[in-house]
Amino acid sequence: MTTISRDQIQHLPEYQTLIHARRRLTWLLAATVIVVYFSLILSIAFAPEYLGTPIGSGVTSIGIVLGMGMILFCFLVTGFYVYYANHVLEPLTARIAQKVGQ
Amino acid sequence: MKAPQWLLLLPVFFCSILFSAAASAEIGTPDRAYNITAIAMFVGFVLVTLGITYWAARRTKTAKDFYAAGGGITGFQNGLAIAGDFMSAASFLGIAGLVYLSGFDGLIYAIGFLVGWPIVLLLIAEPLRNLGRYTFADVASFRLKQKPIRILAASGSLVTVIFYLIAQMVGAGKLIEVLFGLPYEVAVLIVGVLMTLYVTFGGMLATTWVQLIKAVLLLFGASLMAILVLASFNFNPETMFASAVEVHKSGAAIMAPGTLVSDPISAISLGIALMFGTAGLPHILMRFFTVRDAVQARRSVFYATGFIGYFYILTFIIGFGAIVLLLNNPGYFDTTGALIGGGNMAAVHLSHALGGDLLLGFISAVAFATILAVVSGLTLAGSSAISHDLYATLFLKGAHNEKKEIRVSKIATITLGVIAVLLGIVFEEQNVAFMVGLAFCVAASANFPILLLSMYWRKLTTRGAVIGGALGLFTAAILVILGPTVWVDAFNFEEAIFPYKYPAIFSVSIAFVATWLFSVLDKSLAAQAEQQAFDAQFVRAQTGIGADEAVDH
Repeated sequence: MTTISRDQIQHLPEYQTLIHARRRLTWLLAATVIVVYFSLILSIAFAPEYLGTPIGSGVTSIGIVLGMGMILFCFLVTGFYVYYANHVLEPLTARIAQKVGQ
Repeated sequence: MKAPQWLLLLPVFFCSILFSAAASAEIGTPDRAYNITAIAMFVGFVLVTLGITYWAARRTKTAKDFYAAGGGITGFQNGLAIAGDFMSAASFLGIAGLVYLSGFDGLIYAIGFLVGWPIVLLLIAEPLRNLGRYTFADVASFRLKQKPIRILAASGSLVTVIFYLIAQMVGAGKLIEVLFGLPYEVAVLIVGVLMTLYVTFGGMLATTWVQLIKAVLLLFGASLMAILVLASFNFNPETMFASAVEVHKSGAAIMAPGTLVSDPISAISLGIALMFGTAGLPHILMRFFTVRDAVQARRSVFYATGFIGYFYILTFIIGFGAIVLLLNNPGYFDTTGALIGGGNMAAVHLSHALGGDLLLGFISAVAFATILAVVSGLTLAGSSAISHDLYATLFLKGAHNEKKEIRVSKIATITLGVIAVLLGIVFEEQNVAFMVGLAFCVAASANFPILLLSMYWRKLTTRGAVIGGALGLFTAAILVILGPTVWVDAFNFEEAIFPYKYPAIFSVSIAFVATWLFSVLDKSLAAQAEQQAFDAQFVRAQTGIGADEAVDH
């Protein structure tokens, strides 16, 4: 296999796939986290009574469930990205590294 | 650097200080008898960590060892260490105390401290690892002019570190005063001396292991407390919430947002500071250089997010447990009906209610250990900014001299230790609550925009970065000073000049807009070269190819 120089990495199809896949996913996930978080923050500022509404006949409020859900959501987002990056992006990176002879 | 033999004598020295100080301290209240358990456990922690420092000192020879633990920390360990940096005494006792006082509001802070992590993972962690060596200034200055960018980044780092450090030192002094009965100055001095020892001799390796041990202890202690709390409600959270609503003076209001964030500007601003500030904290960013590559960096954020999220859920349960178990027990209140030691002591009193003197001693010792671990990380980040960014660029002018650089780093560590102790004593009677907020705000307004744009925005130029970053830094600092937390609470003026507690929405916007404007207006030849260098930088940021080689820039 012929090795290519680093300046040529940009033109490799693998590199293009890697960049586009990562860019699409990271900015989409980051935007989702930001939108979800600020929706929660704004509902805290504008609709505190709604968040205080108990669920069913108990005292546990919608706000508590949403808050706990937010913590879980952050964990799931990081887990999903790490899984995707390890299984999809890393093989692409490895192939690029191979082509430049590393 | 080889560890001197006298390091081995230090444990003896410390035990004697601790015991003699404890013996001579004014024993104010009768329930201070527990001090001995707490002190014994804490001395055990100090002995183990000084042993680790001795071991680490023998393995710390090069600059890479000193700043980045030789790059040999695993993703899991680093994730736990990062979580340890966030699980400070302030967040453990502070959030539990906030939940105890007003219920739901504690959760707002907990979530705020967590949401920064997906952002760090998605946008920062991998390119940071691929482009940098020891400090985030390595990345910001990758294709820009070294001198101005490093001065800017080091200023942002030092401001963040020093404010964070003062807040921790004052908190530490107060906490140890209450928990161990030691005089405030002695407490601050012990913290200062120990952190200086860990960092000076053991570098990042010792700092990381101190953080790891403490993280495990704290997670264990908090888990145990949360399980004991839940067990007293038959593991049914609904029963716990119902009992809390019944005994709390605010009743059902503790299940809804209270007074912490009322107006939308403050709410968004606090959110921005917490979310983006996390991605600009120098002591956190520095940890990504301790792992082998981007894969491990990525993995560490996943573990860190898991541990931090889990820890905050525990803290939330502990806060609610404190409401039920403490409010029913007059023994934890003084004659005026206030919780002894204030709301922040809720978790500490709860440990006594749950597990008697033994658990109280353990939690107190862990709280002390937590402070030590966090301030060590901060000090190392501060001294790296001084030696690696300022000294190496301004005085060595890029000529590599590891020996000199490490020596300056150690001098800087000792200097920061002295400064931290002095400022800790000076600020004893001041309200320092705003300082962590200010640290996050500066990190979000100066460090984060420059770091993010340098990684992703081709058109960024040195001029744009320096003007934008400096404006972000100054706007954040000035607006905090003119705002209610400093102008009214600390300076005692009638009314604040700037009406909002959290200025991040303004300072972060100013930083981004100014960086953009002065970059696009910059038509100099240097600017064109910097923009052309973006592609090569981006390839390395995204693939890591070339990241293993020594970089002389």
